[in-house]
Amino acid sequence: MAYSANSPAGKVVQDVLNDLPGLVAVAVVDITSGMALASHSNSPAINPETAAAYNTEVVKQKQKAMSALKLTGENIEDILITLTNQFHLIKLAGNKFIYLVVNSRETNLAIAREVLRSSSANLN
Amino acid sequence: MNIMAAANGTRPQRPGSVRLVLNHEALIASKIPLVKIEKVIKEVFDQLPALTTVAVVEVATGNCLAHLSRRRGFDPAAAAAHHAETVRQQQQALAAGPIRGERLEDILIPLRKQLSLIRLAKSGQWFVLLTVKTQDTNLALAREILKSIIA
Repeated sequence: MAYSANSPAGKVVQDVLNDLPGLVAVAVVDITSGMALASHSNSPAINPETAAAYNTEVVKQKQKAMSALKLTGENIEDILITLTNQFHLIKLAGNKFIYLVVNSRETNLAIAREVLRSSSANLN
Repeated sequence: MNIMAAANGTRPQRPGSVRLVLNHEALIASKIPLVKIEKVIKEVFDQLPALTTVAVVEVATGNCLAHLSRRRGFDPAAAAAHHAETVRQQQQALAAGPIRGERLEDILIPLRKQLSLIRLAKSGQWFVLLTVKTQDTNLALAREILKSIIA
């Protein structure tokens, strides 16, 4: 548990954990620096800090792709990544994003997205 | 990374335009194995091919032992000496304080368009100085990469 529940980011991590207790990992990440503001992992295989650093580049590259395609007036709401046994979800909110890893056998994608949608409203 | 740079409209680097430069005199005097230094620089460059500069610097003397840079007119001696002074001052500050059993691991210097990172070797004898553009990487990523290479 790497957060204080007093900060907005810590509250969001706590909210997501309450709604999805079986999640693999969750982090709130600052896009400018790539650093996690708050994070939690239930799996020794996933270091949320490392995941945050690399996934920030995913978000930045997608934003670059959108500006190259001149998709003005559009914003990235979320990014969904499907692995063999996991879903990785990135939900953007301002200059931060929530990064969530869930086991695809245990958690429904629609529920995971809905949890992120409601939690991200409390981030800024 | 070069493909991405090309897609973004920035000029792709010519292959061979960056090369490892060694300071043999300082290397012999430092007694730090050359193989180790070459390995560290190669690994950093492999993982961050878009980097601006990577250098290995001896803390005590401030000598730049080896460096690799894309910046034209880069002065490794001056950069190494100034950053080594920063490291020594910070080490002194830590020694003067009430903190025990801690050692300096890294120093992060984020600027608007450029990040500078210093990561010390476990021995505390030398450090790696890395500078990257903020558009190519982020602070956490650069830090993770240095941490994984210089454990």
